[in-house]
Amino acid sequence: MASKAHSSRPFLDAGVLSRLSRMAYEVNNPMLGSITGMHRSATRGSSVEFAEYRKYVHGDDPKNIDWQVYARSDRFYIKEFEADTNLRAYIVVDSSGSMNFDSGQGTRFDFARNVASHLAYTLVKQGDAVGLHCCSERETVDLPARQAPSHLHTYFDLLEGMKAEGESTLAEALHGLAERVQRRAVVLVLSDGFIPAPELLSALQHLCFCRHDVSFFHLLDPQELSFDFTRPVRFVDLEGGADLVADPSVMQSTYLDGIHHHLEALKEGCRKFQIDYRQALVNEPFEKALTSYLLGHAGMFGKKGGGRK
Amino acid sequence: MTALSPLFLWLIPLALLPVIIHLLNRLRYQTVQWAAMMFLRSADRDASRRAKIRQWLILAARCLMLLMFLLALARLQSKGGLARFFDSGSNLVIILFDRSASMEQSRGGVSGRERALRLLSQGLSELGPGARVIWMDSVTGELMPLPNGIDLERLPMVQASDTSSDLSGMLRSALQEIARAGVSKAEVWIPTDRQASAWLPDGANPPDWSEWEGMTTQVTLRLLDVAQVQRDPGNRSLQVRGEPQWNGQELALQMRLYRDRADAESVPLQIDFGGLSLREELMVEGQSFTWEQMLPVSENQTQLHAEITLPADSNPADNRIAVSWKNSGAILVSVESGDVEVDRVMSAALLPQPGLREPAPAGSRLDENIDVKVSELSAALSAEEQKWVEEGGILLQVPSVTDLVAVGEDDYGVGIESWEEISGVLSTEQREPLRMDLVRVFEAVDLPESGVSLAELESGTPFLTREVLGEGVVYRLATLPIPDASNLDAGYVLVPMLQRMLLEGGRMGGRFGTHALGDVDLGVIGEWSSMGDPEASPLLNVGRYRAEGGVLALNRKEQEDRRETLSVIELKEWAEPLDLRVFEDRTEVDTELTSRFEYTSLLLLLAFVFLVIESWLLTLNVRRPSKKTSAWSVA
Repeated sequence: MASKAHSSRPFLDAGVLSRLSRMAYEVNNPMLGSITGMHRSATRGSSVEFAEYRKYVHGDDPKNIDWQVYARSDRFYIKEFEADTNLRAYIVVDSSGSMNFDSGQGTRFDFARNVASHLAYTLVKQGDAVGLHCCSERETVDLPARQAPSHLHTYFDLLEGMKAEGESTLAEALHGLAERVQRRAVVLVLSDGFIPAPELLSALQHLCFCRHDVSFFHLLDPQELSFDFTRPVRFVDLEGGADLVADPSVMQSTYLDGIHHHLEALKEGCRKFQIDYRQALVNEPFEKALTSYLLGHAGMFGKKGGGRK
Repeated sequence: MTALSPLFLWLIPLALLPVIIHLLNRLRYQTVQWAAMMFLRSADRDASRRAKIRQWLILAARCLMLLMFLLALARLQSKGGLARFFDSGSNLVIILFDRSASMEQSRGGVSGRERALRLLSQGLSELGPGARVIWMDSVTGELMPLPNGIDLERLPMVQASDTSSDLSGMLRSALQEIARAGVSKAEVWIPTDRQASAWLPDGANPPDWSEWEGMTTQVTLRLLDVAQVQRDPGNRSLQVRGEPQWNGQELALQMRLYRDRADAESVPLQIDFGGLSLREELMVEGQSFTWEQMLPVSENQTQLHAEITLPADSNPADNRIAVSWKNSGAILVSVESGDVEVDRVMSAALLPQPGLREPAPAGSRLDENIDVKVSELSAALSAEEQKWVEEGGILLQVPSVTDLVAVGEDDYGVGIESWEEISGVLSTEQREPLRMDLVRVFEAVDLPESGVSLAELESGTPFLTREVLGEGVVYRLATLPIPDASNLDAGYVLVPMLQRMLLEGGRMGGRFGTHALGDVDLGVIGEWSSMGDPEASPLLNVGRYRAEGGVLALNRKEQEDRRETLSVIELKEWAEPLDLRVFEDRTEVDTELTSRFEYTSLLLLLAFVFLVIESWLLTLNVRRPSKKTSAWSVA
């Protein structure tokens, strides 16, 4: 399945998939899955891992009574075990025009597509459900989460067919997703974050409020951070706004101050809402960013137990 | 403001080159697809405001730097204004101020001296702060430092005087002071009416300034021309000429009146003498009018002090003269020639002169009021005669009859070859020459070589010599007024000659007479007081003064009455090889009292300052975002 799925996809790398196959994605919070999986469930189940004793109440199945405890204490106690379940992951890809920025290192949208595809493959492979949500002013794609391997075909097809254009509607899309997905899930946002920080943080906070495990991949180009132009430049807005002719030497310091404050605000906001904030430079291999995410996400805020040890 | 290299001024538009390059660069922009436009717009709207100001400041600094450089190449110069603060100016300025009577000539109510003061005040106000100013006026001749900001018109040494001036001597003193001061740059300011007598006293040749040519100090003479372009047609001046003649009842003064006008008019004269004040009307004609002014002087009156005044005109300094005449009394004559005939002729020749005493009795002492003595010719004076002459006596020595030898080859004798025609004892009171051409000499002696020859025989030997000894004079005659020796006894030569000698002796016997301002040593006359204007001073003003020894009458020097002026070209020749520049009245034509200041150094300094400012502004723009970038990239 896997080889067939990725063989014709330009954004899939077999080598990366192979290396990722030895890793597992773990989450911070217990999930509410539909089937048995590899993640800790928010409910009790029938695994081999003891959870707790509780008093028998009417209606409990007598077969769960621990008779040995009854023999010792003459009281009825129910022995409960942890439940293992799968998770639903929604990968949100910002497909606005600004994701198409290319300073010669590759576009941000390609980077996001690489991460989204490889992560989806990894998740499906470990039995989790993956959904896709691409948002922009021009086009919105919403693929519900499914764990079936065949679902990946649809997933990749949509991803491949997506184009980054139009203004960003990321904040609205995240608010919509928070309203739509009732059960707790993993939400991974891949975006350049070039919308006002309070607006974006509000949307992310909405997701957190709905008890979703939220991660934010902030994709940046090195040129956006250095702004090392020497001659006057006509800046063309990738999201269709008005052009701006400016002398970079005049505005460099102010620009850098502005973007610096924006990044700091996002970083601080995510830390506050316990959102896994990942800044990634598009000139670096996406595998590095993805590996770091897979390895470090579960212990991000000192929580353990989302995954089976 | 002027430019020594004006061609560079055409290049001034090049100063806009930075702006043009900036605009061209803006047109040659590259196009970039950009994502983070929200930050760009914010930067362009807010923070770039300061950066844009800084950018335009950099452009302005570049433009100004180029402008300063081009102006420096153009070598701008200016006078006054900013130059006052930057101009080192002259290290030393010496003002030679002419206070002579001719400077009081006025036009429109302003005299030349007042115009000079105005020009000087204006010039001093434009001097650089480092300049040292020294004042010298024609009356005192002393060098006096002038403090900054002083009001010239309130100084006592700028007031009017009736004196004459010697600008040549003053300039020499000024040059000596400049050489002594050892400054690098000096200027001598000379306000002048260009009167010839002030520049060339006594009709002398132009002075030789060549010894000052090699001075290390750069000396510039600046001429402030205050000459009245057109004399007031009503100006008159008064002079007294020659010696007063007294006939026992009246004193005759030889007077001359100069006028700018030539038509006939009646001029009122005011005559003050002996406590009386007379007013007479004088009918004059022509520009120079001579007449004999008669003043009543009785036989018993031994002296007269008078003041004659014309009505005020454009130059009040030349409208008044003072006269002091002293009758020396009977002139005691001693004739001791050693020959009876000679004594008779000589006594007869002396008789027509009124007021002569009888000849001194034989054996009388020489110091007993004997003013003129005729004695026998001797090679050397006796000690008594020597002392007497040195104290003011007039001695006429004639040869002894026995010493006479024949001159000439026939009985016709020899004539007088040359003689002093205009002045001295061989002219009349009216300065008319004696008829020396009629004199024939048959016998004569060779006179001693001492003294100056006043007349010579055709044979080349002296006829009459004059030797000054102390305050007196010794005349020596080569022949005798007797028929065998010469025809001097005819009287037309001997009588006036002897009378001139008597007058000279009589004048020298009196201590006070009519003098010129500046010729009297105030230290000698002792305490004095003015007999007219109480403010007058014998140092500055014409008038009568009572001194310890008698009355002193002071008048302008004759040279002040000379109307000749020198042209600017003549003055430049006068000053050669010194650098003389003439500036007219600042209010009428382009004049420059202060040296020009060249801005080249200042402009180059400003260009450098703008270069530093531009570099500093560029440094302010430099940011090192690389460190921040690396920090941000660490998630």
